[in-house]
Amino acid sequence: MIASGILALFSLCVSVYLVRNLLQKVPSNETHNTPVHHFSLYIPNTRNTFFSEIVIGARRAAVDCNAALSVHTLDQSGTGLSMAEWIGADGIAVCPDIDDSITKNRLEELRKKSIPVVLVNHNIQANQPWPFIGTNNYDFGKKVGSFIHTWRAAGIHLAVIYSDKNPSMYAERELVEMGIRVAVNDHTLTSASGYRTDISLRAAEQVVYRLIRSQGDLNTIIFTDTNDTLAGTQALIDLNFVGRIQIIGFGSDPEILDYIKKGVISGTLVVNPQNIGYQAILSLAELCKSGYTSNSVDTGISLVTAENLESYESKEKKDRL
Amino acid sequence: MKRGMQNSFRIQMLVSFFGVLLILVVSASYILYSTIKIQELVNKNFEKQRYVKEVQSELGDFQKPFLEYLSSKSSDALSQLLILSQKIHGMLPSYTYTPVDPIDLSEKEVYSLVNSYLDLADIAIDEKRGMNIESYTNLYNQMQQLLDYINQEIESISSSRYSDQLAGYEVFITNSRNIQLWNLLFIIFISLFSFILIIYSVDKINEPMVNLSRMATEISAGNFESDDIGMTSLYEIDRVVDAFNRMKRDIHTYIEEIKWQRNVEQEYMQERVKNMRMEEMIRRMELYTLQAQMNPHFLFNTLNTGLQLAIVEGAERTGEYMEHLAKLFRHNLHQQNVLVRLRHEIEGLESYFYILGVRFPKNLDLVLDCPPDLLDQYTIPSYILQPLVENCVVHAFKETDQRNSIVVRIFLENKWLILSVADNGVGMPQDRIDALLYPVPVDKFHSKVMGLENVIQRLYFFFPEDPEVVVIKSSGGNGTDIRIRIDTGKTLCIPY
Repeated sequence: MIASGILALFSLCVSVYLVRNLLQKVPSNETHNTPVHHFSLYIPNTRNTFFSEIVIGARRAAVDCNAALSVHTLDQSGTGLSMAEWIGADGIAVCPDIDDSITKNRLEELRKKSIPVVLVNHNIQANQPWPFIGTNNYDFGKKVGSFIHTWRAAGIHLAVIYSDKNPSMYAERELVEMGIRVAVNDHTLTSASGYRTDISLRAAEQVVYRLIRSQGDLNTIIFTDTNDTLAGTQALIDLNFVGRIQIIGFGSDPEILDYIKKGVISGTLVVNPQNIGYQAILSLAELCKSGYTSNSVDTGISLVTAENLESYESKEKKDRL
Repeated sequence: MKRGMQNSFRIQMLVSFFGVLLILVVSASYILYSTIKIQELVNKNFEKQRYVKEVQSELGDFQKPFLEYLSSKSSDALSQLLILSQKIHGMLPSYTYTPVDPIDLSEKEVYSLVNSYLDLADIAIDEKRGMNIESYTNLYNQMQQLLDYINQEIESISSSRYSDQLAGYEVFITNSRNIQLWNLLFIIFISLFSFILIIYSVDKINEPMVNLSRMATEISAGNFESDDIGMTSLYEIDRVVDAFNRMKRDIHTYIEEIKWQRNVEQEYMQERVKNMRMEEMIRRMELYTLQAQMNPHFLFNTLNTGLQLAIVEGAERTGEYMEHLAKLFRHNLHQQNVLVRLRHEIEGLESYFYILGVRFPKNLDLVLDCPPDLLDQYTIPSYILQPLVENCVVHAFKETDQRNSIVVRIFLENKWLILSVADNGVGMPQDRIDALLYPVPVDKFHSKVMGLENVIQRLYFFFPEDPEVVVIKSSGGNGTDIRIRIDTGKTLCIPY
């Protein structure tokens, strides 16, 4: 009798535990820490890690600021952005990749309704009143140029491969190239041309093949997207052009860092998209709280080469911990 | 046993019954509760989506009267619009908080968009009233865009929610199955527990009944020696058990008393039979005595006549002899009592000694040693010394040429009065002694037994507790000493 009683009690306890567990999985409408703000982030309608990282950073900042964050995508017509004024958000962060005039019109509508707006990763016009959070593409070009200048004093024949996967870079390609030209002396730069890949992950392969075939004297390729870096490098390995053409990549993918270790890639430019997203939400929170924030927040860019790879990796490891 | 609520048979029955009932009701309630909770959970997952769809549907219904009003400015359409607008406004939840969940946040945004849509509709209606055609046309276009976006967002929410639910569905089903499995196990074990509890309760009540039945069977078989039935925790049952145990003991005691009485009665009857036999024997002895007295009286009278004749004729010694003989006869004839004073026994023996002295004047020495102070102090069974002396005369001196002697001594030894008759005759063999000293049961004793054996059996009769009341010491050729010892501190045993 005692054994059956104990077994019955045990079964009941397990059942109660499972029911309680099941009920606890249902999210409650009321939360103990109710968000004080509702922010909305508009990102380009492309699927790549760069924007995913921005979203991750923005969500982290929303938690830290006790805010709720909704994420929307931008369409080329700007309809989505035009709805931003009616969704009831306290602030909007936009990563524009559509026509600047459409964006500007939509943002003006928001401004009329006194809805705080910050621009992320891509500035539309320098004289507009919306704060900008992201990297300075002129600095990007300057850093690349300085790096090239360290190991090639003359006859630089380079190609910059832009990508739809990182549209802000393409949008500000003049700034990028200006930075490069400033850093390397004009007399050392034989030629500099820009190319563009679509959102396909392997699009860079085709561009690299075409470049090798068409430009025999090409000695430097600069990528502006992580996936393009990986695909283009693989193409150069396949064509046995490693060493003959210097590669400057983009992003801190482990495979890219491995290529640096092996000497396949000379260096890579690393931006921190999570920090961009994080700073964007922080700026919105500041705007909601005080009505003011910094006009521009440079989230920085760093160049990782074989020399500083170890320290970069240890720093990353420390940051992750 | 202490009488408490918990020890009541009725309370325990009720507790067992209602306890099991309560366990089963609680178990069933819990199963129902968990099932309802699971159902509520499933329902809750679809509740929000149904609500959004309802709002979407109402918004769809809003389009027709809105377009109709913009086209015809119909008052019916306007009233319909106002009703619908109010209805939709009423359906929109008023958020007191900002949800964190992305889907819930999108839902909040949709409701905000719907609210904006209705606000734009109000403005458009006003513009229509003001006949501001361009404005309400632009507003209408804007509203169409907004409506499309709302529908798109609702579909997106549905899709996201569906994906979300699909991901959780498998987990939910697994958890539900686990809950149902454990509920089933719970029901099985709790039913088993209840079943065993009932059996235990029934056994608890039944056990004393079985014991009572067993004990009743044993008692009916006459076994009263078995242990009492043990007490239980039920005072009603214990009262029955206690009464039964007491009844068993009382019956046992009563039966023992009856047995004892029967034994006493048997012993009494045996004693009575024995007494009757003894009475019969005594009467027979008296008869023999009377018969025996017939001739001695005649002989005594004849001896008296002979004595008178001897006196008349001058034969003095003959006269003296006949006088002693007459004394002895008279002594024996007048001996009516069973117990006599020692003096009486000694006087008879003196006459007997005189006669023996006349009969055996040359070779028989007779000695009688009895302190005079003892003669009147003690009582002894009558006629015990003369037969012993006679036995010596008859048996002890056969085939002996020496001078014979018989010594009779009476003396006190501690509390014992010793009567000793010793001779210097041929002695007595041991087997003869053993045969003589064997006590014959009273009912087997024949009054016709005479002489030494008669004396010995009578002594055993008077002193049944003293096996050494008479002792015979003898060895071949060295004579025989017969000693009688009488406890002076005790009254002689006379059974009737």
